[in-house]
Amino acid sequence: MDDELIVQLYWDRSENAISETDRKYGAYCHSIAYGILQSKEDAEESVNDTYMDAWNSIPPHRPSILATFLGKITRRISIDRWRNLNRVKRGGGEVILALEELEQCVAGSHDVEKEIEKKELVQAINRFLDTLPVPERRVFLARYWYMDSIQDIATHFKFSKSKVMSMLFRTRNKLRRQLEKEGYL
Amino acid sequence: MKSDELLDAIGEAKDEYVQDVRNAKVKKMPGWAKWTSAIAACLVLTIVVSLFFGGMGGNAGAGGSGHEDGSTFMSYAGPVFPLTLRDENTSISADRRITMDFEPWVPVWISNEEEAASRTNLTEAEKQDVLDTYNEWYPEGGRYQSSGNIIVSDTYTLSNSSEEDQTVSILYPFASSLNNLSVNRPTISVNGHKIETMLHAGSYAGTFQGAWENWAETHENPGSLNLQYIESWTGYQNLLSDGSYLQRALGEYPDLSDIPVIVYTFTDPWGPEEDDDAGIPNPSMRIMFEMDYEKTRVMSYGFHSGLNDRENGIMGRGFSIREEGERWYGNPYFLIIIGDDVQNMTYQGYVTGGWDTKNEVEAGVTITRTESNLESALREAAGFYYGEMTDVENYVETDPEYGFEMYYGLLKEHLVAYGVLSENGAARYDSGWIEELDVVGVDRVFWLEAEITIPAGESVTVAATFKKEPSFDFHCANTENKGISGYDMVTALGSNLQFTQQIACLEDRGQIEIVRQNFGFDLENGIKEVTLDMNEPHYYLEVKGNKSDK
Repeated sequence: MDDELIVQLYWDRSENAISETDRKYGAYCHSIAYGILQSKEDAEESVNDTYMDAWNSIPPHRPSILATFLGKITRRISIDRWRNLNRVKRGGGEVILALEELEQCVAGSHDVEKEIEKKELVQAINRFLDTLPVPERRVFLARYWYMDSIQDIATHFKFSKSKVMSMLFRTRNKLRRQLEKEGYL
Repeated sequence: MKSDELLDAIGEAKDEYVQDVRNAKVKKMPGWAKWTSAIAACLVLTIVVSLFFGGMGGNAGAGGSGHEDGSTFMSYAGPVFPLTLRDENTSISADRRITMDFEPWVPVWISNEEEAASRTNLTEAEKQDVLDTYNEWYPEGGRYQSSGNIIVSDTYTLSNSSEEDQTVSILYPFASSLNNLSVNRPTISVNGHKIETMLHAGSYAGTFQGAWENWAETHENPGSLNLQYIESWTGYQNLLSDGSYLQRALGEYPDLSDIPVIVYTFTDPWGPEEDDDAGIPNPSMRIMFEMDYEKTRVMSYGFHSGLNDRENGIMGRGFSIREEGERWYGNPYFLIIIGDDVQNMTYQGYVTGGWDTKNEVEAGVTITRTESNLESALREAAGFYYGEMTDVENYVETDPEYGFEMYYGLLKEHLVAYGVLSENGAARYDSGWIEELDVVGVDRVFWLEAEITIPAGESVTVAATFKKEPSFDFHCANTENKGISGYDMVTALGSNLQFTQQIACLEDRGQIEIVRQNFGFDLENGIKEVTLDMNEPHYYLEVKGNKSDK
């Protein structure tokens, strides 16, 4: 079903909105949730929560890209769930690895008193993404938005694992420099 | 700043960038689109009471009025059905006793120590780390968990009044989809011993509806683009009352071997590597041919784009050219032609899969034409798709208990009933893609069959035990049924047993407040067991949690 029709179902408060969303984007949302939570059951609950959130958000929202709208909700909910349930589970999850890698971007930041507006930081991240070549941007977001494993990224984008790791390392350094330059660190 | 904050901020990356990564990944894995359509339907909204229903204290509604036959919930789990026999047997009578146990509603205390101990894959130091963290989160030493399911024990005492032993095939029905079989399948026991059963699957239990065009003006939704599931027990009444649905479930699947087909198999496609900078974001193959739309029907596997030019007698089908290392690389693509053969088939590579794309690339594919029958051709194509669905990375069971033969049989059944083989096919399946046929995710009625012997003049106890999900309204819909869970049963629908009595028991576990019912339970006065009226075809129970912390 066309996205506009699905969104209209939400506006009409039709229960079919959720079933049609599930049919079209269930697997996509599930893959995001699973990438973060590494648990089929937890991922399913996150996807269910995503539908609830979407139901509550549309209306008033009328998302232009439904997939991304749902994907962002799923990512947020899944990370929150991960924080609540699995923060200390070492070794298996990509989130803990992603966080450790992102430490490279923020390590040595002593200005802990500084309260950075999230909105401001988001704008800075998007400005940074604007500057990246397409392949680097894709690899960066595959790792830190979708939480894909290095192996999966290498497979999807046909790079070697070492190439992916090297690209990510360089991109994180670039991000760190930009954050320093813009006064966030 | 912490890396957590950075991770959250990255989550708000521009939509087009996020979508771009998805597109890039999809292009690399063209099977994704097929996977999506198949698996999406399997994700059932298993709403956990403690998350959405519990503690909401929602209005229960006036109760009674307007609910003479129970509520119509937004998500209907289906009733509990009665046992039946494959062949009616007048020597056998049945006493039924059904217990609805709210034990899963009882919050279970999970101590932080138990939580840490459950992480069996961790080292002792890591387990200690888990324990420390949970102690921080739950300083009271643990947390409560509960569920909205109930446990149903549906027990029958079958008595043989004749002077001969009676060997009969019992059939126990339940509603589920293939995907949820592992959750919904009852356990059957005879005289307290669990027995093996044979699974029979009914066809799709719902109907179709339109795409809600002009709904606001007409309040009608004609068409057949969307699935329409059964919304109340009367839907199952219509489905089961004349026995034909069961007979189909017990019968053979359609045999399509007398339908001649021509199969075009496409193997070893090749083309340029994906290269955004060179303007080749998704190298794709496009197959074009001429056909008479009145005399030819086309089914396919592996293709995921298409062009239908009925006016000029032209059809096109396309796929992204998989590269080595991609998922399902090496799988063939099939066009299955029913009726007159297509003519003047050509192929051409393009820079993307979009049909408005004009930019060609050098590409090729090996095309093999064979004459076969639909049974053989469809079995081969369905086998590849089944392999995709049960691929370990797809979050579907890798070795589902229903197996390929049941999947394939139900696919054929769906195709004959609603697909391109049907005179009145659903618009939903107009593409002819076998991946589009709804097989594993749709609701059906299943039966578990077993053979038992009831000695002359004696009785045997048959029990079905299973978890039953509630019917509910989505919490966010703010209906009067917000926070209410519904469970229902039918007394005789679809059963040929001669019942002498039926008794319903409620194990409320102190967890519920009854909002609506027609059983006659009275928790205040301790009435938790009632004899059912055999003239009443349907009983319902609608409850909400009575614990503020639930």
